[in-house]
Amino acid sequence: MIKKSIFLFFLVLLFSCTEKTPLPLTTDENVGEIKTVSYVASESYTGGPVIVNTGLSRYLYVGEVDAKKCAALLRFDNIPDSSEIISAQLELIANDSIIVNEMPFDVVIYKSPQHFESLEVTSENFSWNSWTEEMSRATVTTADTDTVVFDIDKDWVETWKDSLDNTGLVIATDAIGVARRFGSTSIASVSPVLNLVFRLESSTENDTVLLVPTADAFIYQQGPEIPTGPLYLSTIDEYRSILRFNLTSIPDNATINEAELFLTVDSVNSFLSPEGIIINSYRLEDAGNDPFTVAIDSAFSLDSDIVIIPGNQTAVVDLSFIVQQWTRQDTSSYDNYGLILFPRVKYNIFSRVAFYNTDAEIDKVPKLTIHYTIPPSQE
Amino acid sequence: MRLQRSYIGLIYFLLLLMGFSQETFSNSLYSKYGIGILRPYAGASYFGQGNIGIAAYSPIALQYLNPASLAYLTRTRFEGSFLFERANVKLNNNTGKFSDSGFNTLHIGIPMADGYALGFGLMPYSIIAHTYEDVVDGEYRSELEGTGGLERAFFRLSGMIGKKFAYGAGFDVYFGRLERTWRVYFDNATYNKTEDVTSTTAVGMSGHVGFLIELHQKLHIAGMINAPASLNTKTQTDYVFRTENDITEGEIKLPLTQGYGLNFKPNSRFTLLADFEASNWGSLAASEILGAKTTDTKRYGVGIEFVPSRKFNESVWKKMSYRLGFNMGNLPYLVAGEKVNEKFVNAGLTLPYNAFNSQMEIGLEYGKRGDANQIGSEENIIRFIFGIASGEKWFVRPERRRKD
Repeated sequence: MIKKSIFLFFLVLLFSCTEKTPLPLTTDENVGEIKTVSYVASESYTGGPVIVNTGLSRYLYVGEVDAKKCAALLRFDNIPDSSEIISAQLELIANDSIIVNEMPFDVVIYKSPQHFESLEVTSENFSWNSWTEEMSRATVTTADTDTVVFDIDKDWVETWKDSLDNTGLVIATDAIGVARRFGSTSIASVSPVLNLVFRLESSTENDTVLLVPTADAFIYQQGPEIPTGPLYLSTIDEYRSILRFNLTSIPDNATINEAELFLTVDSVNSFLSPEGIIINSYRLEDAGNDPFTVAIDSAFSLDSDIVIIPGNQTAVVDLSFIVQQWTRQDTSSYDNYGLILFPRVKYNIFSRVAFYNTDAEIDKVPKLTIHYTIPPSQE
Repeated sequence: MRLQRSYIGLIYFLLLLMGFSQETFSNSLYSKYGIGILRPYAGASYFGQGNIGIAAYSPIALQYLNPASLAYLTRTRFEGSFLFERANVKLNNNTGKFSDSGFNTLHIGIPMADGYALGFGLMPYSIIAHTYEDVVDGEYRSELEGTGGLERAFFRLSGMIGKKFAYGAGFDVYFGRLERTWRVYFDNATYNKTEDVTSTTAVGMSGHVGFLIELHQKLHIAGMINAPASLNTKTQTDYVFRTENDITEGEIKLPLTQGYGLNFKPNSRFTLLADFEASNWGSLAASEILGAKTTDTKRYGVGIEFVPSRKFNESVWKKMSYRLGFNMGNLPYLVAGEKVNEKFVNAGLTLPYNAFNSQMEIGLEYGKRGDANQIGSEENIIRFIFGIASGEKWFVRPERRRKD
């Protein structure tokens, strides 16, 4: 009998059952609040233009892009010593139709008037139109993919063996309203190449080698000022923007369920390549207004990369994490100084996006929409 | 065989301890007030007899209400019980259902020499268990859940003065966690959920005394008092984004409870019980009872037990005890300014075995709490208790053998 009782206890333990049909919450129940509030930026600033170095650019631009005149710079420091140059051809590869030219145009190679470092050169230290000595000329066709070949004077190439005398070359055009972008050394498959035929002193036969530049970049002349008003993010020139939102109305015990920053694209003042522009956002660490001097917490991006391509009307930045940190107020390292929007400059794809600012129509202003809950009172 | 029984008794004890780690839910919408629904409990044997028994006593059944009843034990007793409860709830025009089950109580009584006895155990004092929900299609589901309650651990001593006056005293430790959780789940998977958990832990001590007097061979009267208690509390709210939060200290008070009972045995087969119990909950301020508005409580009950025979060789049906009872009272809380009354009818069976040394208890309670017309809400409740009591001759010196 006792053993049966033990067995019964185990059965009871195993078959303990739960069923519930919850009652509906009524308005007088002590529950919290579920709220959705949109905040318009209390402060916004755009900083720029800042001329940028293009030494890591994926492309070398030649011609007029976004009202900026561009010229490519190349240098070859790797000419074989103790050799006689037989012939040299420079090949530039344009493998896309990103910048379309409706008519062929001539591109000219000049002797570079000064030495340059690819990771330092800009139009601030390399004067625009300072090149005068034409060394070669070729025609860029209207084809989507094109390889432009320049015949280079072999005697000039000979001088490249001496590094002190080798200032490199400039590739530019006088044509207006046309442009082309060529691959750079950042992408091996479309890198510029010097097709060099030479003969070593100790040899009786010619050798051929394909040399890639040891330095490449492009410089640009500043174009006309862009209209003030919108919030700009741009890679060339660089523009950054700051936004601040007053969130003091959110209690520090609120749970932030979702916080999204909605930015409306001002397509009239934007210049977007088909790849678009990549934007990152970071937390600010002081109340400065200059996006280029304000203290930034670059340890982590507030959201993953935001890509804006032509046709996008809105950019949405997920700020849930940082808004929670700003509102909880018990974490002193996260004071609310706002955020900064950064364009991804590193690979210098010519793009600029303009967002409507706080003086725009109400449905276009930068808005931080926050879904949050406030806990029940403890009464 | 004796050793085997001891091991089995130990297994029982361990099972009860293990099972008691599970919570027992009352699932009442009124448990959202104060410290939840109070759980008066007379014992597995007396549950079917109206869940009363201040004046009840037995050599083999443990009674929870009056410590003086321990003096009548003749051998060590273990008792544990399991509870199943179901409530059909009506709130305005809405209905809900809750049911739950689990282990309920644990009580051990140990007789000492010459009429003294001690007992200790654990039982729920109050239970919070309710769930409310609000769903907005395509947006979110909001859920308000109350869990926890207070437990009462007791230790008591009992003795006899002469053969007609039993007394008992003990102390209680009240402890528990009262938790309210508000959750919001959003249909949009990118949204963080909300979970705000307000937790109040409480601990405090008190005491109780009781007496049981034989006025006549057939008539006993009894009384008991549970002293007021003041429980220290610590309340903290944790959020999904932050768990180290300020702790607020406070106090919960439990009022004085007094009860009186009557035990009438016209013959060896019938036992009639009647109880009255009162507590001055109304004297507590809302801040002393977690914000609830309170009122004094009164509880009445009557019950009858019928045992056809106590002979070992009788059939099972004749050895069983049959019980009926009724109890009524009110909750300590005011809802919409009105008292919440409750009424229950009880029935139960006792199946003795092992030569009346052990028994299985089955009890049923059905009743109603609240009034939809008066306060806009009511519950129909059914409870089922299953208990097992067994005993061993522990701590009783065996008689010495004569030396021949």
